[in-house]
Amino acid sequence: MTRADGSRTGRLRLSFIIPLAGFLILAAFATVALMATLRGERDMSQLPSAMVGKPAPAIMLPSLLDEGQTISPGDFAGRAFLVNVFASWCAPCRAEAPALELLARDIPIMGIAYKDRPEDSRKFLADYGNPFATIGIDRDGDAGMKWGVYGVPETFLVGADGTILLRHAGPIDRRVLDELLLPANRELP
Amino acid sequence: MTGCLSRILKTGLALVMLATVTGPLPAPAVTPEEMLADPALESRARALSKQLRCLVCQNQSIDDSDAELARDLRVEVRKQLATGASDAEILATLRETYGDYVLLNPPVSPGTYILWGAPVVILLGGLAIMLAWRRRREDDAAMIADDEAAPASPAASLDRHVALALASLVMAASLGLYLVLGRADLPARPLAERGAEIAAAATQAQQAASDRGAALQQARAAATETPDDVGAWLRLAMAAAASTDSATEIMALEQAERLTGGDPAIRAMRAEAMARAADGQVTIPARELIAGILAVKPAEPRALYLSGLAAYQDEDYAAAVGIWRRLQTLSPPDAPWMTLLAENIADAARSAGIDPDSVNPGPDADAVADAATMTEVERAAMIAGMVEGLAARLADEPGDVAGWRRLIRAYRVLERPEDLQAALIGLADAIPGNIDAQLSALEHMVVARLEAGFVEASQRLLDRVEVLDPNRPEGIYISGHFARQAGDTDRARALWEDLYARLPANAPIAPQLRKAIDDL
Amino acid sequence: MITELGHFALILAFMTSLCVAILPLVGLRVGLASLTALAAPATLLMAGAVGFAFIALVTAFVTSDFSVALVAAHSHSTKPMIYKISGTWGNHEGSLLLWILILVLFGGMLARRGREMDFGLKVRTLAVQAMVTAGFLAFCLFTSNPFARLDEAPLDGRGLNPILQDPGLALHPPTLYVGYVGLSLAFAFAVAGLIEGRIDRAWARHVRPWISAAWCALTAGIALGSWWAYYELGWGGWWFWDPVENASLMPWLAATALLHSTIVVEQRDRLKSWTVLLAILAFSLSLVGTFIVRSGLLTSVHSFASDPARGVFILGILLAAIGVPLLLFAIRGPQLSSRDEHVLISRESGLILNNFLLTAATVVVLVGTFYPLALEMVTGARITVGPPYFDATFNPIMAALVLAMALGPLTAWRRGTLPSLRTSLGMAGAGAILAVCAGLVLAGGVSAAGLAGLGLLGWLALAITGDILHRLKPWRGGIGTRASALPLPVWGMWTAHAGMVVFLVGALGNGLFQTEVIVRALPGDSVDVAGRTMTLRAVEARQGPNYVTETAIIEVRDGTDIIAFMTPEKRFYNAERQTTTEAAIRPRIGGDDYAVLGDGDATSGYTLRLYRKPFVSWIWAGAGLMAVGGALAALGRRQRQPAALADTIRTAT
Repeated sequence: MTRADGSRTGRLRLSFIIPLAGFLILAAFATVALMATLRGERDMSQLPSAMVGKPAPAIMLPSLLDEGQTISPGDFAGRAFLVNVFASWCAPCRAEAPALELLARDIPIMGIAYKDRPEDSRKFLADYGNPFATIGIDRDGDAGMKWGVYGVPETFLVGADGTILLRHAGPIDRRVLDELLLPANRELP
Repeated sequence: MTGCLSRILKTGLALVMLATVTGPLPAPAVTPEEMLADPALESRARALSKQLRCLVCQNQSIDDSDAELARDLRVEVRKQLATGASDAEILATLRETYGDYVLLNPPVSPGTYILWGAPVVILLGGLAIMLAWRRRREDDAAMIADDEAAPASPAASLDRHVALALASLVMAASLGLYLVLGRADLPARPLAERGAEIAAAATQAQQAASDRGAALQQARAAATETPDDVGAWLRLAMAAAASTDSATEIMALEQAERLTGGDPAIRAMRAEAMARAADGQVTIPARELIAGILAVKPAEPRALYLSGLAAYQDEDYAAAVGIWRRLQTLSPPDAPWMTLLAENIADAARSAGIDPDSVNPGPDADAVADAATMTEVERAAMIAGMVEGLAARLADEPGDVAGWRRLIRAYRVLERPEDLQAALIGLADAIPGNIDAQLSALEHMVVARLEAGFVEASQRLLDRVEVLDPNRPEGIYISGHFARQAGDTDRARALWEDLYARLPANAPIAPQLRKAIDDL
Repeated sequence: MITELGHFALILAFMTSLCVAILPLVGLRVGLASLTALAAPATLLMAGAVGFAFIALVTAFVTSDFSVALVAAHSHSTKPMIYKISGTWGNHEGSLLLWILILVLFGGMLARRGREMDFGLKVRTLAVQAMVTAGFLAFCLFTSNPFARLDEAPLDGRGLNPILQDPGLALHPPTLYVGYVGLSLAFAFAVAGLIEGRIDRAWARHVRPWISAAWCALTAGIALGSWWAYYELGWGGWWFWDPVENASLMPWLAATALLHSTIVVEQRDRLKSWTVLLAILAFSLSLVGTFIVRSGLLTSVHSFASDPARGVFILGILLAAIGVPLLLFAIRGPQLSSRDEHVLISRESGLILNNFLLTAATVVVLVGTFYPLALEMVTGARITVGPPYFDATFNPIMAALVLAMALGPLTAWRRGTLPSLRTSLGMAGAGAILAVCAGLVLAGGVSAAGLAGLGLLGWLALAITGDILHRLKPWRGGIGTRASALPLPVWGMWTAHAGMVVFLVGALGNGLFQTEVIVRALPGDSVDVAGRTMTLRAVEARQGPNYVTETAIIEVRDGTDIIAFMTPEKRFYNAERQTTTEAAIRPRIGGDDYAVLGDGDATSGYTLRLYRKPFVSWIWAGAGLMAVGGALAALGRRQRQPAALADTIRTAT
């Protein structure tokens, strides 16, 4: 049925299309999200880090292996380095040990023993290898909280100027190694 | 190596995400110990906690959640409150480190303008639409159908034939699809009918467990009694492996190693035990041990297997396939790990997207380079090892002509006449229609004077030559030679005379043949 | 054997659904009565076949037939029988089969019942229902087959999540699904109407009972889920704005709007396009709810195993099932005629306002739920839209709705006047003021929002009372005749609206006046919780059927008299190696006592969380009343309202 007043009809007709339009927009988002999830590009448990672009927290931690010493990110001033947060009770940390070994050949790694007893951390290193240049003890997770850590393992790439460049949550597998860290390293001094 | 290594392989592959689940026991939401003494501060803390998201939970605030991280954040909030920070400051600090995601109340930022604007837009927009409707003038009331006026369509009645036809069609189609999807071959297995099976499995499992326990105890006793007996320690290690007692296994193997002065095979077993202790992961200490073993004994099977496994766990599938293929060619065909190895190679090849058979199982470039840097003894040992493997494989697959040829070349180089002879005979058997192969084998036998050891084979070869080409001079000569060996001089003379007659007069061997005949 | 027969039955249902989806519509087009006549009988066949298949699956669970992959994955020999049965739908494949079962049962009911209906409408509706059924059957058979078998039947199953071993959870999905899927019939009616090009009062009359029934079940289902969360999850919350909860709320809001909108179509022959849109929207939101739970797109405590591959299939179903009707709506919608005599103050306006607010609320929840996903797709940023957002946006809309709820029933259909409203408004206003004062007096420190809530509560309560008094006029004689003359749907409305009042009492009472005490206690310690003395007597270890527990025994005293013992537990399930907390609850009309046992030991003491939650059970009692109201409306027949008869109108108001 047509109406006498054409313009009003036009606006009215338009309002009938709104539901369809709204649905199509939503469906588009859902499709893109689903495709990304299927391709493995979208990992629900990976949070983008809010610390990227900010300076690395300059916290001093007691050294795990050298009694009485303290370590901090400042030890690496002028160099790019990695920070790896690990724990003896963390299964994926064991799995990523060989990858860290590989990385350690190119770039120094600072380890943070997170919410662990020092003796357990030391045993972990004995059993699975020690790729770290320095290791700090973070017994109650306070230092981790400053880094924005929400689980273990997590790895941060810190540039030579002390800015956090990258954060990977979860174990380092080959894909991460190849795609993220090695190319990133090559750009660094 | 046993089937448990397949478990090692498979568990080694499972890379689980963040380890919060395997961490220490979760703390319950808001414990009395966390609570601040000052009730005003505490209620602020609770209100703030309700605004913060537990990052490792599904949609819970840190106030509600049991997770460790939630507790840490609650403690952090209270710490900051105690220092006098305002609510906004605390939320801002946490937002700095953890991002917008941690705030349950999305902050108003360019990314959320639409979110916060939406309700307003919806309400206003809806109003606008409704007002647009209101102004509509309607003057064709006559066009509106009253439901009384519209006749209801009469119900149709079912046509038997159409219904039946359709029903049959549907039945047939359903049956067809069922035959594709269904498993009519599998019987139902209600639990009530499986009592005997379950009881049997239970007793079996129990029996096996107690057997293993007894075996372990026995082995332990035996080893303590005779601490210098390597065998006892090895048996203890095996028993411990069966009972998944990695600590004992490693200890026993260390003893065996000590007694044998670091035997590579035993060290390899220890590396395997270390991997088992680490849930199948080939850890860095294990890798260092393996590297040491392979430097001394590059063909040590266990070490090679674990080295391939390490590459696999590093997701370097191509390298894993290469190492395992080498192991495959070096191993005797009846080795207990061959099936598992084949599966692993297939698995790794699939992951690498390559065809396993295309990988050259021969010594790869690395091995060749390694061989060059080895000492004479080591190289000889390496080659000997490879050759042994090849020979063993050919014993199982006697039709591999190329293999035989390689083996023949190898034995020539190694100057092992008997083995060479056997290989030549193997080749001859592999291609019984090829007279040259038969003749080569026979000739070598004659030249190396090995007739005595290969009597039956020589006869077989000769018969073939006879059938294939009775007029071949070499064949006749060798037949004569064997006849003479056997003591049948008449036949020998007959054969050689025949040969002599065929020879052209100026043949260089003619005088020698004459002499041989005369010597009979 | 029976499992395979069930499998075959399901395939048979699928083939039949394809026929019903296509042939009767063709028959209507070309005038082949033999084809159109098939719709109803074939639908009944589908219902029978799926019913049989469902029984076959339940049998497999009951007999613990571990050769069926589903049983092996989700059941265990030591599970109590009732949970073996409910385990049938405690997983993706089984719940999908339940969904399909309800789809075909509704279709079957329509096939049998709709005798006075226009035959063309009935056939088209059944056809659309069959299309939806076919889509879900395809999804089931080809990607999520509950009848998948194992070559080697294991000796025992892998058990069920102990959190799901619970009576509330046994009932929550079936009830909820009756609601979700019941809306499919309204959807089918709407699409059928669009195909035919005709929506009229008869259409509304036929569809309304189905909407009421579905709405009733949906209300009950959501209430059950909320109640279950309250007593099972152990921290006394009852709504979390979790994406899957939102996914059930959105269809409910749309269905509520639809329910009221249909009344307008039936009584006044107006709001047709909006009603059709709501019908499509309500079921579409049910489908979207399914998508969320099974696709892994959003994180939620509710998610089944996240499987993006299945998500693709469901996305396809959604695009077809929602996109096509919405397209049809865009094309045919404007043609739906409506009588237009718009008067500002009339029941119609009230219902239009109601529609508008409910639709707005639905869209707000939709935006809030999907915004994080959309933002992530566009900018990669991850944000959270949690309870604070919804409290800030949804609650005000609901408040406006409560305001409107008071007024709607009080106004006449065609023309209400301000004077006639005056008494009613006066009563409502008085109610609001009373409630606010009561709040201020009884409890200090109530926030402004809380006072506003109390005010709304009073407003609505007295408005409804006023309406009841106005219609029944108990001060005059003959209340009996007046009462029996009132159609059932009116009683339904009062019950449902009263339910809303009861719900608000619960929500506000619990939200504003809850007492929480958290202590570390050793046996013998006492603490005061809202006037009661709670003493920890002991903490014991006990053994259950498939778990071990640590149980605290708490003595509750009022003054010097012991009134109860409460026993909160922590359970450890052997087979699944999981720990759960079982709160101890003493439900009473005035409020619940709620106790939770935390960690601890005999030396350092045990953490106890003790609550007094005033009126909290009124939340679900209110929802229950709403559901009863819906049921009454479904059963009753509304009086016919021919356009010209003013007297009839006056009597009804």
